[in-house]
Amino acid sequence: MAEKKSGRQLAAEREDRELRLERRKRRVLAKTRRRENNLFSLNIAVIIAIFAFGALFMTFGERPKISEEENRDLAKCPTFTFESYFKGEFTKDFAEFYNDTVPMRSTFKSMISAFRANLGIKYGSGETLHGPLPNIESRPDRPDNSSSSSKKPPVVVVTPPETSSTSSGTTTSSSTTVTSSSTSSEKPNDIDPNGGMMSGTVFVLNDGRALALSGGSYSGGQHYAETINQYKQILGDGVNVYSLVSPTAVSFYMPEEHADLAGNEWDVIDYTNGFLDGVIPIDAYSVFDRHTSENIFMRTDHHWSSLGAYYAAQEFAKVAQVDFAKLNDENFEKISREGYVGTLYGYSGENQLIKDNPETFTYYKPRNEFTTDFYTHALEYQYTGALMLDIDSLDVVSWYLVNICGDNYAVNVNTDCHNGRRLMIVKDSYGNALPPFLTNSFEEIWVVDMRYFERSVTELCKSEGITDLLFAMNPSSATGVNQENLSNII
Amino acid sequence: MIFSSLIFMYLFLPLCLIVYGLVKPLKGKNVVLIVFSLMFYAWGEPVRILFLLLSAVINYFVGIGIGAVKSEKLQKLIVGGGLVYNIGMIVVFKYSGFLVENVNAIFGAKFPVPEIAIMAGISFYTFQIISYIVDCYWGKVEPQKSFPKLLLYICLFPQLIAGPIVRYSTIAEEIDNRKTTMKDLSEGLTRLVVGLAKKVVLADQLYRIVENTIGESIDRLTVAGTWYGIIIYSLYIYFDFSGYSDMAIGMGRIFGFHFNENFNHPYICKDIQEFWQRWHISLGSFFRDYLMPITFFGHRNKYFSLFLVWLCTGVWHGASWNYVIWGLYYGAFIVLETVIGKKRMNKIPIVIRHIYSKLVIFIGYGIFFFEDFDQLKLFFRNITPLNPNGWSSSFEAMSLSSNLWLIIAAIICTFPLIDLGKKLAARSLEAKTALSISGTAVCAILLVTSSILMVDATTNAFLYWNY
Repeated sequence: MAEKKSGRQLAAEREDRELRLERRKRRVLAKTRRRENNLFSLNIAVIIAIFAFGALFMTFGERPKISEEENRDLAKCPTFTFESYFKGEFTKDFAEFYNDTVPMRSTFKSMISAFRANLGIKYGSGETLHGPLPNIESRPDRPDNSSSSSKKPPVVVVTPPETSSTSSGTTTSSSTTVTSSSTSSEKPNDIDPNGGMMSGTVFVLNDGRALALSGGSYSGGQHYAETINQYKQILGDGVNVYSLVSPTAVSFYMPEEHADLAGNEWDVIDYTNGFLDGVIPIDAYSVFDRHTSENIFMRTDHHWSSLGAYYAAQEFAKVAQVDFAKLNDENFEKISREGYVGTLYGYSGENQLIKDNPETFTYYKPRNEFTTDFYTHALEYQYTGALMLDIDSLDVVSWYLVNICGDNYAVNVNTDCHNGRRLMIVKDSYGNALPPFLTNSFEEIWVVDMRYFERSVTELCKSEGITDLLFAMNPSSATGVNQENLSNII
Repeated sequence: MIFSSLIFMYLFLPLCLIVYGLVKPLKGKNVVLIVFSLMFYAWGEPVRILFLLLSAVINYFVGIGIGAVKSEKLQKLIVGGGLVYNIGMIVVFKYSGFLVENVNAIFGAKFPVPEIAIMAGISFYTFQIISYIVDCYWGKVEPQKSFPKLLLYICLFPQLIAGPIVRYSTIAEEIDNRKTTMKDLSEGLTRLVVGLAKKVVLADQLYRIVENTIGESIDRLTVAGTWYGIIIYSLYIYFDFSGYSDMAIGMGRIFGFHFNENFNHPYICKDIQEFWQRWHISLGSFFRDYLMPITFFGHRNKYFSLFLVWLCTGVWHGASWNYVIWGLYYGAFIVLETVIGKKRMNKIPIVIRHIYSKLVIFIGYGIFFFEDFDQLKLFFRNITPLNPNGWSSSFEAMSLSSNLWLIIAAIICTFPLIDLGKKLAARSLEAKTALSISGTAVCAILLVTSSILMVDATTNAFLYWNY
């Protein structure tokens, strides 16, 4: 009996144990499921909350209409029509509007820029690179520049009907002929190396100075020289033709150890000048090299500064044997504005370092008397107005447009200078900054942009009695994209 | 519309989810999905919807026809007609220009080269349709009698444009009967966010390096620079495509569908056969199941079948000879490994196998990347000592250091981290809780980061978008 009871008891105990174990398992399973569901709920709640916030933010947030950093109007919301829908235009335009006008766009762009700038560590003395391998040509066999000086003609100084004095009190001799200055053959030492980063096609130094990695092309330089030689051939000895291919900031401020990221502008210009025949080179390189401690180039823009243009104009005037007004209060009104962030911010893919280091934009208004007429690129008269725009009427990124209203017009300036010299400047945007410094040097100045001009430059030179024809542009422009334009407007 | 855009993530998807949630009956939910899928496909080019609908109608009747007739000959005729139509659609819309160009080049003919814009996703949804009609013919699935249900299978937007190539059998049951559980919703949302981050945080940033190296300047890169560029491209293409698949699978889960996996950490493979078992699994299994069994003159030849599969794999990727070469290149290594045999392959030291497989993969992506043969030749020259630009330069060193965290993160993410997390979570409830909460926090950070990065309008479209 006792054994049987004990067996039942044992069985009951075992059953009880199993039951308890089963209950425990169920409790643990229920607890696990509850916990899992809670964790799922938390995960769902967090992600859905972010999606909901984002959707509401995108729907009701204030959408910007313009981008000051990129200097453009943002996409507009399209109007729905069945025709535009079935052509696919409505949905495409709406998507563009939706993505282009995100509320707080500028802030997000800055965050993206910061994110990208911190994807790695700095290299060497502190460089980072987020851009392409620069396209640098090797110099072909060097043309014999030593003999090129023989090709450089003397400057012909035209005598005005009556010899006149200029405001600076200097007078040019009507019979003087001066050979142009020779090209410097020595590359200057680089400035102390600084860390920086490659950002898009721009090298940004740690102090916020941005350098467009231009360089120019040797083969393009040869073509450029041959093209402007044709201008000289057509215009003959009566017109002095000059080539002012200006180096850019990268030639002076790029750290030595990363010079291989950019082309050698000096060498390209030197090579190009070797092909000039009858055209007088203006050596801006040597001039700038003496002034690298001054603000001769914008730090956030791909252009030179007004001061840089002044030095280049001074060198040109020296070579052209014309009087030149000194940069002082008597001759110029100096105007400055703080907070300039130029084109290199956009070129760099909105690099935050550039944005965080805005600069002072300074330009100079000549005080002498002159009138400025603006023409279309087909030479239809538009209006008579100011040579320099009011800077306060421009968006910050567009301040460089103060010079002759940018590239929009062919410009004719008639000055109070009476020396019989009439200048034609064929230029890219670099050349825009030159005319304000030459209103004391020429009695008439024409400025045409080779990218847009629709007439013949040589015809215009002949019809306007031009005595001096100046090609003024940067190396990329001269030896690259604009060669065809130069050919088209001969 | 691409998934990794603000308009999709913060307008289209929320609207779709709200309407889908508000409609209660499953039939209604299916209609909502069809409507949103057609809107999705019509975005930017509404006319292509007509071809999609035409394909759906024709293949609906092909399926019905196969089910209705008893004669095997007639069934064969119907499925054959369906195949001709479907393959014809791909040939017309994807390969007609390429074919005419080559005919003109070979025979000196002057046929006008058709300029037909490729229809997004045509290779994916047509392969789905082919799998459906062939499965109907083989009796693996019942022909779908409801046109809307078949249309839903074909046009379901998560997998419509760039896969995975979902078999009808995978979701046939779920079209009629599905429920989104809390687990589905949570894991679906997580998968969506992880896929988005793979695309926007990793792939798009890596692509900027690709553009700056092999994309722009293959002629000027050093040996190190070329290898660097192609390795980054290999990382980019994985995150781009697998990110898209993750988003598709995640959205499928949210709607209660369970698609098969399309990627399984392919770069941990030790040989090329394993690579293709882990890379674009839905395409590989499609060719394995529908192309390998084909007999020629009553015979099956293993090596000929392999050749055919890899030729088709290459051609499927694009209308250009480099894709053909790319497919055959992989076919050659598969055949080589088949000849060597699994046992002998396994005897090779694992380090050697890893190096071998990665070299083959990287060089393969060079073939894949360069459609221009001159550039392809430069690529092959530049990865060898014949490179005239030297062994290395500061360019790639600077680029590498400037993107070091990105590249390290990308390499780490090629490993099965989530599987590791799941193993750890299985140890205890506390571990599971801690890992789950951490996972939620990481997801939140990734979603916010991805959303901000999507503000940049230059975000690249998916590479496989036009396939």
